[in-house]
Amino acid sequence: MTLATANGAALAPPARATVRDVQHRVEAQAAYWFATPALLLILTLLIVPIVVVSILSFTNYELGAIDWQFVGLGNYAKMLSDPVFWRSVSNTFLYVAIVVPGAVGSGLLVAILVNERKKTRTIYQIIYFLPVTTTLIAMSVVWHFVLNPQIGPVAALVRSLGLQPFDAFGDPALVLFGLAVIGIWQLVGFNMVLFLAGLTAIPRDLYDAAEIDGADHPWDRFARVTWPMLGPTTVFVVVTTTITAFRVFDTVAVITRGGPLGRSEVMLYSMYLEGFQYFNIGYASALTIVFLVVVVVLALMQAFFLDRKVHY
Amino acid sequence: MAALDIQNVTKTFGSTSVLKDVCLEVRDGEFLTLVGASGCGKSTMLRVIAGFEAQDSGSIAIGDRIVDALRPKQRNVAMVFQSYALYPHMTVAQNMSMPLIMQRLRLIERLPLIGRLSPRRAAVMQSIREEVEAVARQLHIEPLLDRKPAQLSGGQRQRVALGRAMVRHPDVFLMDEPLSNLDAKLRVHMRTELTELHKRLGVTFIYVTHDQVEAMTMSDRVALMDEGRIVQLGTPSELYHDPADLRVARFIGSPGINVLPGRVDAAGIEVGTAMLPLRTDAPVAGMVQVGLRPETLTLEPVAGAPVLKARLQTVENLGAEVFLHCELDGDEAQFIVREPLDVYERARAAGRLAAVIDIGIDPTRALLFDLDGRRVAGGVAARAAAVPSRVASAE
Repeated sequence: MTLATANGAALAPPARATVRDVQHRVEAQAAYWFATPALLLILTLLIVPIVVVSILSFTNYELGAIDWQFVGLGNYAKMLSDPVFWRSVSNTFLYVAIVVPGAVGSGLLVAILVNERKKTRTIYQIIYFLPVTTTLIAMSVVWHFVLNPQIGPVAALVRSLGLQPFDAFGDPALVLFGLAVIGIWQLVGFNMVLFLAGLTAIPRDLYDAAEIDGADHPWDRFARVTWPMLGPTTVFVVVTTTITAFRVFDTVAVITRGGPLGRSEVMLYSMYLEGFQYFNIGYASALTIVFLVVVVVLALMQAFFLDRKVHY
Repeated sequence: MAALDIQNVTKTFGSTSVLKDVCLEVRDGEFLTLVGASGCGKSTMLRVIAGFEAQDSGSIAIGDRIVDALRPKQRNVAMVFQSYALYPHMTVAQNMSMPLIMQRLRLIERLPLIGRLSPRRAAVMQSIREEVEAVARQLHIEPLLDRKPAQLSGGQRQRVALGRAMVRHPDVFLMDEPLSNLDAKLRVHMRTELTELHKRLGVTFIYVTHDQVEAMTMSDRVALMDEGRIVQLGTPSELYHDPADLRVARFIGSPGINVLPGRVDAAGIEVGTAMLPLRTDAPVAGMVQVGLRPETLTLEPVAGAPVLKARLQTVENLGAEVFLHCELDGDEAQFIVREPLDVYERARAAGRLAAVIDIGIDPTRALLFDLDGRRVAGGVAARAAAVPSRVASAE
């Protein structure tokens, strides 16, 4: 060993290793430099606002106020005893519970029907996708008119059948369903496009195999090939639809303003009222944090539980 | 088990005609291969037999039944796909049970939850399970029954696909390039395994491939297709030694057949410097194409045999044998000579591979084609009678 070191040639391997180490360090540094712009953007646009909002949620800050104090969990305690908060939570969950199955189911149905068209496929795709491209605020006004019990065309149609027209946005029992119809209408096109992509990716051989195995009844084709193969797409569609449905706001703000009798108060609308109408920024921030936690937890749960069942 | 009779089947997609008046009789229990380059119509032929595509005209009978109006499941054929087409969300056992469940349970019994109310469902499922296990034992995939396809290797998936085809005891097995997704070594192994399976089951196999080696090694008979037509139907040996068409001669055999221009003369056929003592029906002073398999050419010509003067270009040494790529002396025409290693070594040691070398031709094994690629009768004067009759029957 001593001989080898004296020789000098044996020193070469450690020297080479050092060169490699330096190279490695330079590469690692370069990697950080390349990642910096994206990191800065994530930091300033996502992380910092969330941190600021969560700090504000522990204060009694009001917009324009000169002094404010930390109130600890005061805002959260207030929330627990606030009937408006509980009403908005239960309304939001009910809305989501109607919109998610409605928008996912009809998106899938439309996708399967459109997928079987050959010449008219593009036309149908565009028609169903149109609601996605429109401004929901403007379309809310249109829906408000369409479902208006006095002057709306739907009411006229119902009346011509000799029935009593219903007031989708004035009847406390119907208002969430009325809003959900608009929510579904807006989401169907988007979900259809996602499902169409999933349908296109199913290998044709599988349908051939199913046909020769005797599974050529439409039900068998759907239950044994289409539906299982759409698993990953469905998880994605359910998660995105759920998040979108939780964020219901435009229709409530334009059509019902939380009414009648608070039956269409939803979480985002309460947040908006507290923050920008009553200027209770501290309380609104606390609501925001709760909303964020609820959505993230739900999305993670869905992705975690469903994902394990759909990857083969 | 059943024979298959295909009569005048045509099929067009849009303006492209894919099958042109195909007639083919497959014998009961035969292993028949449809071979051809991609786009020759062989896969479409298989899909028409399976019932995935309806032919434009013509008729197909399996056994005594005309199946033209029957759906795929009613034809009692099974198919193995190139991609295997296993259901990825089902276990091996469920994959293999699929055809039997579809056959034996009514639609209502197949529904989730409601189906369980049927009193006979449990018994049927039990008997299906037993049959699937029996087939799995034959294919040595019993330990895999509870796995999903994603957890299997290519060879194992192949067996599962075969198993799914076997459980229903079909009249005809259809196979669409089943080995082309396997690696080279496994492919060779599965070739023998498929041949053995065919022998054991005794069922009619129709096998589609673009690989002439698979066609040659596995089949009882081979149908070579080109541009939607069957060019030649015969045993592998007939296609190799007695091709009816230059396309057949070129497609079958590796390395490919050498094709050299020949001029018809009163004394025989002149190829390069060699005069082949062949009699032919082709007109004197006309041109023919002379097909010479690489193994019919030799570095050690026997005395009096016709000799080609050629220049050696490159040598491919495969260990046991050697391919010599040569060019006709004073001509651009290229050809390959196939010789055992020792013959090559001898020639090299003797310095015979230097500038211009002598390549001996066995004229009795030369194949003659006209300029359109059709086989023309030809033979050495003494044997002239035997060869033309064989050619006539092949056409």
